[in-house]
Amino acid sequence: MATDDAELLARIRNGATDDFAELVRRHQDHLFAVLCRYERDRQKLEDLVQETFLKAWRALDQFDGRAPFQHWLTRIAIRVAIDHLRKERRRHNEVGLENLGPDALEWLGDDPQGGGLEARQAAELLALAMRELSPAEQVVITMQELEGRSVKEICQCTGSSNVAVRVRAMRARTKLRRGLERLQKAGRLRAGTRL
Amino acid sequence: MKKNRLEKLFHMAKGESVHKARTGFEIRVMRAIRQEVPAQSASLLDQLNALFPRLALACAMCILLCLSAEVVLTNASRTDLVSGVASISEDWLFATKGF
Repeated sequence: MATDDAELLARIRNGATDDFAELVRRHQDHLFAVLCRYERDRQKLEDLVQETFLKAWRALDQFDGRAPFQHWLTRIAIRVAIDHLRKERRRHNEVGLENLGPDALEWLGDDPQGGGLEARQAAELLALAMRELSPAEQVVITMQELEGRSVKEICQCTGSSNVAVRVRAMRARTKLRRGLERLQKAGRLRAGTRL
Repeated sequence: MKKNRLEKLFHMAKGESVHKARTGFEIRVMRAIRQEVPAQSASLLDQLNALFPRLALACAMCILLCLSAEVVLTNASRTDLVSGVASISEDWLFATKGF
């Protein structure tokens, strides 16, 4: 018989540790959907989701039940994502054009009649341009544009103020445009060297 | 870079299918949780608590051994253990002239 999250949590707190597996089963797809926007590698993504569940397990006593369990998990996932982006930022300082296919480079070109990109190619291009952004800006713009969340929801998930979220979103757009321009120039150079 | 180019990129990227968990992913998470449970509860008090029945039995055995030694020595020499130990220390341990 299906029980709600609150009932399961009460059982876990009373020592039924194995019931946490049911909570993982219920919310794993949601966490994969949230975190896959910040990590494209499958193995690393699984590590991030596991880390989120571990952090939730350690802090289970702090969950007061005022908000749904999934909202609380999402907040933890966002913190995990920000930490991960900070670590990744230290590793990748330069934009790697070699990861982009010819279609993406063509799309970046000046031809306004150029067709669209596949969703995967667009996401890869966006991921490259996002390297210009700070982790907090990256999270805000991803939640707003790719997940379609409202400013209020982003404030709740990140713990930031309304103004801070709006400012970060604005800065992120400016930096992304600049990043795409840089990629465009680099793409042209690359095409030139091929000829 | 035109403004709507970025919006187009967002729109196209939004359509990317999201990853789903593999079957049995919860087993991996539960394994990680179980691995960290003993590490967290390995405090000195917890260790003593785990050893409690054995430590209590060892103490009871020690007390019984002392009591039986007291009884045997008292019956054998018609003196109690305390006076026997006092006499030994006077004769041997604190002897000034040696044997």
